[in-house]
Amino acid sequence: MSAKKILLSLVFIAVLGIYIIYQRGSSSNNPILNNNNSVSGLSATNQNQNQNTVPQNAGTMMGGNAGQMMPGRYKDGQYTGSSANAFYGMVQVKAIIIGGRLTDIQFLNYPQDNRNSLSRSNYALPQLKSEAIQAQSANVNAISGATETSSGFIQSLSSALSQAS
Amino acid sequence: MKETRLLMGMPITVDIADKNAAGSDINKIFDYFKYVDKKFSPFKENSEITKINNGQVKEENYSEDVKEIFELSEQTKKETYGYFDIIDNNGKYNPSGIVKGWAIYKAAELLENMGYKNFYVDAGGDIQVYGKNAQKDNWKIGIKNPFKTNEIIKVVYLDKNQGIATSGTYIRGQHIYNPKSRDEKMSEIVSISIIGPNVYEADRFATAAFAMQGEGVNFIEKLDGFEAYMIDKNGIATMTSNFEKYTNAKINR
Repeated sequence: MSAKKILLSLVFIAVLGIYIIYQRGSSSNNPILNNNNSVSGLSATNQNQNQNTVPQNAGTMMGGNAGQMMPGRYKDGQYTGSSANAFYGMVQVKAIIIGGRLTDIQFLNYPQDNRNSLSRSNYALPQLKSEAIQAQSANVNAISGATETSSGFIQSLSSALSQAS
Repeated sequence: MKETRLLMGMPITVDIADKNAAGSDINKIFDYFKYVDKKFSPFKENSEITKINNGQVKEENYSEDVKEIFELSEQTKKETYGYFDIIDNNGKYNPSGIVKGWAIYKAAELLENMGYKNFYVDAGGDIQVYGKNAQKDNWKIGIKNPFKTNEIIKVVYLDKNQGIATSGTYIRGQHIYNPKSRDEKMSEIVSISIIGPNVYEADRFATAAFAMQGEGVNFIEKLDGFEAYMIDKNGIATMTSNFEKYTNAKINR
């Protein structure tokens, strides 16, 4: 539950960051992506060993907790964002604004990495070694992880929120 | 020399440890990824794949790259007992699941042909390494925590021009954003990372092994030259029998 709250608040911060960038943006169709495209922006987060999560990027750009600075700036309603390419599929979100705040983001479309996913779950595992995962604090050259759909997410959400402003 | 760009909806990084690295060569690699996206994206109106899906291209007119991808997809489908299939529910081609690893591998080959010996290419968390890093050590790769994406939960060292790929789902796995999916059965397995002889091999088997869910690690265990690290929804990892060799920086495999 607390993890959910933290994530939601991070998303909120990210959204505000995105919104501000969007507002500052030029006539470009896609200010968010252009912004992320800057090599310096990305390499700065890479040095942080992280990487590309939306909240962190936006947090850095905002330089702080923007969520509390500007409450209630959106018009109430439900806004559907544009469908954005996330390589494995299209991402499309709906932003729900209540009391001027972004209260929920619903995925209308989300790419499936596991297109052939099965609902079977009772496989007997072999006698292979298992362990509880544990955070490591090491400097690494690169990080392997499943493809994140963050850029498509940002794109769709920013388009939804531009309608709410 | 290291550079990251956002292409094909994901961050792509080229890091060349060789001292003579040239920015113009790195640009050629990014251009290659743009070419691949333009040709293979089923979401782009004018891509060859879209045209094929719309019946606008005869089979004899398919480009060499598309023919190659279709052949490799067919081969992978057989090798994975049908778990890997580029034909979606609507009967259309969506080769994204194989194109990414293939493109990274091809990009690494381009760098090799330019004369580079020590580098890696990373597209959205799937990585092909060559040679050694700037400290002349084996490339040191972290595996991302599927529950907390700013954290790494394992470190592996790759030496022999190997590849590592991870298949999984973070957002769905966490059930954070999608209230509708509460009714869906949550996946048992949230992420599987595969070390293979190259990133193309690692990626295609990661995709298939993830689709197999709990059975995926068994499937990899039976494949020579591959190791897997699989994480379930409770944060318990299961690894293939030789995986731990890769957690040792110096061991000569």
